[in-house]
Amino acid sequence: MNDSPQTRPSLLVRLRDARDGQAWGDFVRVYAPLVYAYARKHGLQDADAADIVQEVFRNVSRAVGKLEYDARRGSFRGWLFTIVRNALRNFVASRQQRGRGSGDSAVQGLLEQEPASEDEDSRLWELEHERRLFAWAAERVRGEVQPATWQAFWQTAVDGRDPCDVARQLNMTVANVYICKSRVMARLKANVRQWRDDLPEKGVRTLTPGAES
Amino acid sequence: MNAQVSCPTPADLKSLLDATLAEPRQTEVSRHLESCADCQRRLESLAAGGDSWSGVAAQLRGEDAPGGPALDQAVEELASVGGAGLTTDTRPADEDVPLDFLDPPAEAGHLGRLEQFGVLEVIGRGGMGIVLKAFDESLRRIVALKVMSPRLATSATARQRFVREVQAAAAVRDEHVVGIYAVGEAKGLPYLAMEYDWTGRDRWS
Repeated sequence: MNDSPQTRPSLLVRLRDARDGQAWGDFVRVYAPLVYAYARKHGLQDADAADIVQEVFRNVSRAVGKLEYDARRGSFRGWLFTIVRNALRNFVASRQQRGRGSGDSAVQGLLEQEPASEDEDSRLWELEHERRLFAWAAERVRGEVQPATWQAFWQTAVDGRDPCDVARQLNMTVANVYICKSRVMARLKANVRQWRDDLPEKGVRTLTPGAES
Repeated sequence: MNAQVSCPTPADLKSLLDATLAEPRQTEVSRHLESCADCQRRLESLAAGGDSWSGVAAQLRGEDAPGGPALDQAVEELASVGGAGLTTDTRPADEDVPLDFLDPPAEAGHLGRLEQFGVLEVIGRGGMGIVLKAFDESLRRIVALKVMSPRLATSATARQRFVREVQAAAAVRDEHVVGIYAVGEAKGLPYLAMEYDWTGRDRWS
């Protein structure tokens, strides 16, 4: 794992530094699938959802240099969500504008998939965000531990199997199953927390009014 | 043996979790954990950090995240370019395809000119050339102009492949494929003029 968030500049600061390709790459790899999943959940297909991803990250790239910390304002992921939502709206609008009208099955599909309310949509975004962070953390931690350790964790914590059965199957002591399970859980949480801490929960706004697309 | 007498301290459990508990204590604690349900639960609570784990388990267990080839490509492109490189105003001119094959611009603010196209900006790089945002004077509209790289244009096989690509694209009628306005050759370079998509990106380069 990298040095702790306290000892290195926050991700937001590093994103502003055009030379810090690592920060940007990390950010893309974690957040692009989130934006994509959100678009897919709204009925878009692979290519169109990927277009939304491109558009969103283009906008983020433009705006990130103007972000500053203001305690009265919202979270980074809230800010990102407005960009995503706008990109999706533009997409639907441009599809409609192509003169295909409401008879177009793709557009109709999109309209039908719209969540009932903005609140519901926000909740969907929050859910997808959590899901993505944990999925990313799981990929990472899985690569850092022994296969048997991962299995001990997954089969008990996620599949809900009896630790005694798992111990027998993996040829471990029950104690070891519990230890593996707990260690992996702790690592997952640490990874997720690191991302959450690195991108401010509160206080993100753009300097220039109207710069938020 | 009374299990409660030998329960490890929270500090011991924490060290066990962090893998910093020295021997022989680690072995003793492990042996204890084999049968003490209370301590098993304590260890898990410590790991869960007071948060509910069941929600997380559901997240991890849930349906596989959606994916697709377009997503993978997008991630690779975005991750490799780096932050500032994404915005068109800071992106440097494509070194592989210098724009000197264009005629001088007819209007202020244009990059250059290619027959009836006033070239406005470089949108991106395709497999075999460059994609430009241009104003088509005969159609009086903005188009995406895919021009074969001059470097490749001298190769007969490359030209054939480019033309085949263009013909294949023109033959597809699909709402996901942009409209094609014109195919031609300008200054010896094959080109394709397409509908300028709202994302400004050539979908199938």
